[in-house]
Amino acid sequence: MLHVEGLTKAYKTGDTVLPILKGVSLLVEQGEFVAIMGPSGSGKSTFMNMLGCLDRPDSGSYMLDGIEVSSLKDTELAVVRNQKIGFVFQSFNLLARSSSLHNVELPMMYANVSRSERRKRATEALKRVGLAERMDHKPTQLSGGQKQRVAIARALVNKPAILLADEPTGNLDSRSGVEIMAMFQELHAQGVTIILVTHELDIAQHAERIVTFKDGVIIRDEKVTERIFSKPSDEVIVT
Amino acid sequence: MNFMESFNTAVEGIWANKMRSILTMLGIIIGITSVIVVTALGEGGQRAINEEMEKFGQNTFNVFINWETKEEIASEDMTVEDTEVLGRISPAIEYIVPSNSSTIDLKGPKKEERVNLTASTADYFSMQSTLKVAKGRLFTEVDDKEQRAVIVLEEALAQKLFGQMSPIGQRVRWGNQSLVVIGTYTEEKFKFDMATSYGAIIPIRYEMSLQEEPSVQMIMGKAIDKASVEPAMQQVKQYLSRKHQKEDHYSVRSMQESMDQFNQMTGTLTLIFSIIAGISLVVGGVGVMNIMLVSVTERTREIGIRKALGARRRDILIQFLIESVIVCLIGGLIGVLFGLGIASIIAYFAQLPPLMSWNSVFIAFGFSSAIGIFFGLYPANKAAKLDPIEALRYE
Repeated sequence: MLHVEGLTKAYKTGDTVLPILKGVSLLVEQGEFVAIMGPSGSGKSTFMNMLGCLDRPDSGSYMLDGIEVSSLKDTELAVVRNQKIGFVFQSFNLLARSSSLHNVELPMMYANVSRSERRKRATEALKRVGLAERMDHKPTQLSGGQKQRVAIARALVNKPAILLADEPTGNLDSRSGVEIMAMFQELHAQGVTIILVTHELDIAQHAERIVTFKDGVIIRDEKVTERIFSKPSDEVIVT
Repeated sequence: MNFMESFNTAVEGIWANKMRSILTMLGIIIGITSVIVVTALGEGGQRAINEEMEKFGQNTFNVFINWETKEEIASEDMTVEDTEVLGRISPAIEYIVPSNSSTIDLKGPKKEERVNLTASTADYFSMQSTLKVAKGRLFTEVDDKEQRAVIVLEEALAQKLFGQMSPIGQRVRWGNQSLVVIGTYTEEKFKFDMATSYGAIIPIRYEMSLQEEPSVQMIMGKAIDKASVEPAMQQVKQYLSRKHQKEDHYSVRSMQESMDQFNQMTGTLTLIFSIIAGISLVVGGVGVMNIMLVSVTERTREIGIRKALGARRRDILIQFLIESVIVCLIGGLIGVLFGLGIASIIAYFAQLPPLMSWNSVFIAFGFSSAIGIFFGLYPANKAAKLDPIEALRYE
């Protein structure tokens, strides 16, 4: 599904070259739920940008759903982002002036999906995240948790190969955070491949596997033994 | 994303910032309005004046002594007899008359008035197609030949000089001369003639008899048709040059030539004013660019989101470009309406016929979309080139 091999990236600031990623390799199978952890400056955000095709590596290979994306042009990367990747951001990143429905329709507009088909799929996606009643609401009329659910509906609507979530609970109160994590687990149960970036261990423990970054390399890659299962309600079950 | 989607997105963008969009449009509105007013008045006024000139002076030409003549100027360079001979010998000429005009004071029993006095032969009346007898009669060839002290007054002038009294058979004084009023006339006035004084016409032979050195200022001719204007002018020039033995002494000018010259002049003037008005359009365009740049900066985050969701550079570029073109086109449309409105109001007060310059309307629309593209391209391109990571991080 997702295979990264020897990925490097360095940023230039003036005369000094600052290496961020120093040869990262990772294999994620279809349907996996992986959390990426690490302190700030460890390279996890840059890695996330690479996985999201928002940036290109200096060297190394990145196979996504059978496509070698590291050498694609800007326009082709845009198509890959549109078709293969669903983003969920910490700050939701919804269009403030548009309704939930319109926000969810947006990726399909760039995919040239017809108007009626768009409406149908967006409505379904919003139902799936439990926001059928809030389709015409603008982001300002929604709570944080609801905004994040709109973002999840938007991320899923083009049926992407992977769902990339960057600190999805960072701007949420703990209750909404739990709700969102429950939703990720539900999606995981339905077979969606999820990659979650977080610096909080108890969020990462919702995943099956935790990959830890430090100084531009992966220092740990292990299965989660004490997995947390969240239910949409307040209770948190630890197994 | 297809064009309609981009269009809708752009309209949403404009609608979201109504006040700002209107203010931005204002620059374009003012620019287009001024261009339309200038060109509509210029073109329309020119056309109206040409129509008038054609009505009054179709197939006519005038003969003067050449300004740059090297020959000696004599009082008998042009004579009444010359016009009679030319009228007889040239088949191309319908009428040809001598004409002397001057401004004089005419005194009637009621009042004294300043008058444009024309002295000519009886054929003058035939040539002036808009001149109609009101009372009495016009003077004849005999009146002229006999140098009779008779005068034909413009009807409105007669009313000033004589009041309710019938002017026919009465006398008016011009200096120490006393003339008998034999008739009055009405005449359609040249609409754009700035002179407001009245007219009166007397026989030229009588008028010349009063001059110490009798001379003819100008000869006026009318050809039988349009094609005969050139040959008629040639014959007149040739005849006069040969008769008076003077080279390059006469200048013959057709109404058409005067009209062409006038059109060239007003055309140039209109162009100059349009360019000046066009500068305000460019200023408006810079305003559009400025606001688009602000808009791009303000919507950096939105651009980042769109890019993350799969918008290509082209999608973003087109979205912003359409936005600036729409602002300019709406501004252009309002400007055209304002411009035509203002031009009509001015035309109404200047007593010009209603004018409409389709040319300027098309040019205005062409210009506003061109300005939209030209000044929108830089901001739109800036938006399209934004790095999605940077844009998403933008606060």
